Amino acid sequence: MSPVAYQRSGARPSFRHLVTLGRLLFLRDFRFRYRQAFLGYLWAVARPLMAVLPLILVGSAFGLGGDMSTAEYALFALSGFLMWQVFWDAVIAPQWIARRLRRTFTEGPLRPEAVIAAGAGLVLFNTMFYSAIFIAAYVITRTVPPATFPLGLLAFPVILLGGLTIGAFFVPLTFVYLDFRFGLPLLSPALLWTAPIIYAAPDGGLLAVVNRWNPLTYLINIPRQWLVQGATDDDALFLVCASVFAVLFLLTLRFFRRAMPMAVQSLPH
Amino acid sequence: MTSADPQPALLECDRVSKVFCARFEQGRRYALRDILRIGSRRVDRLRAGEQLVIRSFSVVVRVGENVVVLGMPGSGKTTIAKLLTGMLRPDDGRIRLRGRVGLIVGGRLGMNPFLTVWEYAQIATSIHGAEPDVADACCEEVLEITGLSDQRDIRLVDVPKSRLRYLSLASALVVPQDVRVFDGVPGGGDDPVARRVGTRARQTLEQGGNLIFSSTTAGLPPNVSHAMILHDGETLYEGSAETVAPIYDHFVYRIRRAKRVEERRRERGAAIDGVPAVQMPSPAALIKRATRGLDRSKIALLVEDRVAKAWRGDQPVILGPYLSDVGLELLYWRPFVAWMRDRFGPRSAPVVAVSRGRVGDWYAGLASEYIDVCDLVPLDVFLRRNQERIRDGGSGKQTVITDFDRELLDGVAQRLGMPDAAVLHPSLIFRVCSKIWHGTVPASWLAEHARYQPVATLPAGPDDGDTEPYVAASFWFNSAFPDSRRNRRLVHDALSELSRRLPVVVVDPGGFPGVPPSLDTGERIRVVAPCGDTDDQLREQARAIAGARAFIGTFGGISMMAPFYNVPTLTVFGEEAGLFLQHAAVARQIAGALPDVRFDTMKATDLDAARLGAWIDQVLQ
Repeated sequence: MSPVAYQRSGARPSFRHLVTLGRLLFLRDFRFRYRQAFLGYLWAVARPLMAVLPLILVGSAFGLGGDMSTAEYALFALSGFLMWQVFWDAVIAPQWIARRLRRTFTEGPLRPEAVIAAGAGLVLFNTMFYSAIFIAAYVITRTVPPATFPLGLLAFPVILLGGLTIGAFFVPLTFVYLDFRFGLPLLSPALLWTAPIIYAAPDGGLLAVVNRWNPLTYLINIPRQWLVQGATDDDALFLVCASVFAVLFLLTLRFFRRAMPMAVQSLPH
Repeated sequence: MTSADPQPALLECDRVSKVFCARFEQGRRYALRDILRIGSRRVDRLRAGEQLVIRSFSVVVRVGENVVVLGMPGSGKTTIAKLLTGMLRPDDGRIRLRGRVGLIVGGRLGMNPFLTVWEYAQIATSIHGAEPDVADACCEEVLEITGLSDQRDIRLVDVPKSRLRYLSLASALVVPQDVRVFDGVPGGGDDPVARRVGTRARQTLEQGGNLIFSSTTAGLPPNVSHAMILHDGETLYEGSAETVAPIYDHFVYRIRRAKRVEERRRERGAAIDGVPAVQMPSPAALIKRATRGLDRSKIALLVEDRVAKAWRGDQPVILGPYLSDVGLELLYWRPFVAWMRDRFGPRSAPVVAVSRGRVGDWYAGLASEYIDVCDLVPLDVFLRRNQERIRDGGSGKQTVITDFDRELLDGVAQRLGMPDAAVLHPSLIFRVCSKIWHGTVPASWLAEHARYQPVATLPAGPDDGDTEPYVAASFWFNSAFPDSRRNRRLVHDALSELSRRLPVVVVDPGGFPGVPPSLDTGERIRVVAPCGDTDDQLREQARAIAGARAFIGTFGGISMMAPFYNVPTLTVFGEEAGLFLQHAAVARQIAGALPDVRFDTMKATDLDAARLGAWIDQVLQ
């Protein structure tokens, strides 16, 4: 029995093609999603904003910011939540787009990686709005960005990569069983609350231990500190976390390429 | 590289196999396991419910070559196309690609009604692999081919669906690729867009480097270097296209025929009665038989020789007796008789046409005399013996001279006192037709041996007097126009649209589903009873059709009368079942040979009340 192989040589689709295709598929998905909405794209921003505002108000009242002032906590929680939202968008977006491309996958030679590229496009689009909200929060709270601010911006692609790594792993699985898609949102509160995203990291206790074991603590909390407060003692851990996610992303990509044709095969024709 | 060296391979598929699970739920469970499995599975260990749908398929496509894979629907063509383009993963074997591979397929790939035409063209070409530097040029070509250049900024939802039909296919065709996999051969269709798509496809095929999957030998490119026959995922035969094409046609004919026989057997309840099933030959045996049959296709020459000898001789000639279907008589037998007359000229000795239904008018000018079968035997005897003939032969077509034929011929000879008359029996044409349908005689033989002439004598209308203008219709259900809700709706719409304009005479061939009760037509719809009540019923039906201002009906059978009586005709079909494609090809020749009359054939799914109404209004003008 000869080993299975699908080998390609010579000219093959370029990375530019992948980016272009991803952009077009994002556009296709975007047009479809807001096709009947009067307020259109505003909903893309309104949803996370309306989710975080009560959290900030309640968190401030319950002292989740520790010794931070109300304005400092508002900026702290908002920035953390928006960065979390970027991460979570990156987890979910490839699945949204892939679900709407099921028929296309069964009908034509669509590059599976284009789903990840389109998901990244959707996250970047949302990030533009999040950035606007973030800048508005700076102005309202009259905060001066710290010197580490550019580092915080550089961390965004890493957060995106981290989210896409998880999202890409689940895409083929959701093609087979929708349970993965329905179950994934259940993971969201667990990840959000086990990392110090909308509350100040405690110095000790069980929550501090849990925080330490949640990679989002390093992926989101450290860049958030760079954006609003400055350098921390754990900055190096972000690099470790980024390296781990980079390796995981490459492994997931390999898994994704192999798994997608099998997942497409399981779709009802 | 010397001239003897083969061109480099663009695509090499080496013993590729694919496993599918027949049951959806089980298939999903296996898929999840396979996705999470480390390493590849083994196809020699199939799990419950799994089956090999592709078995060790191998093919090589080299630079400048076209390779064709012929296979009936369900044979695995699309699965292989998907394997080669990476849409599916082979479970065994090896695929090597050199350069870009494209899949040429139609459909609505990635279509979203809220995109503009230009945006969709960008997406479709990009899915097919258009690089950013050529994407705009590809999109421009797509719009040019589809005639949508002036609508590029319009959303798809606002463009008529019919205009979007070829967008995806055109996108697949224009993207530069090193090797292309055609899942079906584009072409066919009379509208300008279909023609442009066909032209673009031909240009691509002329360049070579294509692997073409097709279920039919029609429309294949001329420059095919290698061809294969695929059945149930297995390669049954391969060789040059000239050899493989007729073998495949023969194979398809045999398979379909065997299935029909089996269906009929089931309908008769043979299985219930414990009668053993007819042993269907294996596909490999059918291929072997077809290969042998290629060497025996001398029947056409024998028939020509037989006709020439009889016609040029001094003795009288009996044409017939024709006992079979009206449609076949008008599509094949009468045109063949007209060819004899045209080819060999008038005779001094008598030519006697023998048929049934008092249709002597059809042979006026072709034969010197007409004798009806019912002049020889009573109607009930004819009906019974003809049924026995069909039952014993397994087909209505007269491919052999039966005892009943001989008795009738004896009766004719006796009646006319011509014991030495030469007989030209309908089996002459139907035996050649059979070879044509098997693919062992070229279809062009028919065109060369047929003359399609209108019926010279036009009988009066149903009331034999001054009747007001009317239109005629005839519907029945068969394998090509099955009894379905859609087709019943079409019958309803046709009668409704016709009766709103003129009174309607429905000619019932024996399977008319009845005037729908919802049609409140009063006296507007009248039904002419089916044949069998009287021996001249067919003539009466012919009169009803000949006197009509327009005719709409099921393709085949008595509907074929209408164009020969110069009545504008629209015939409909639902599926390309049985020998529909062969008969439809002849119908197209008739339409071309009778330029003064409109003769259209349309698929039921392409017709709605509005299109029917438009067609009727056009012909009634």
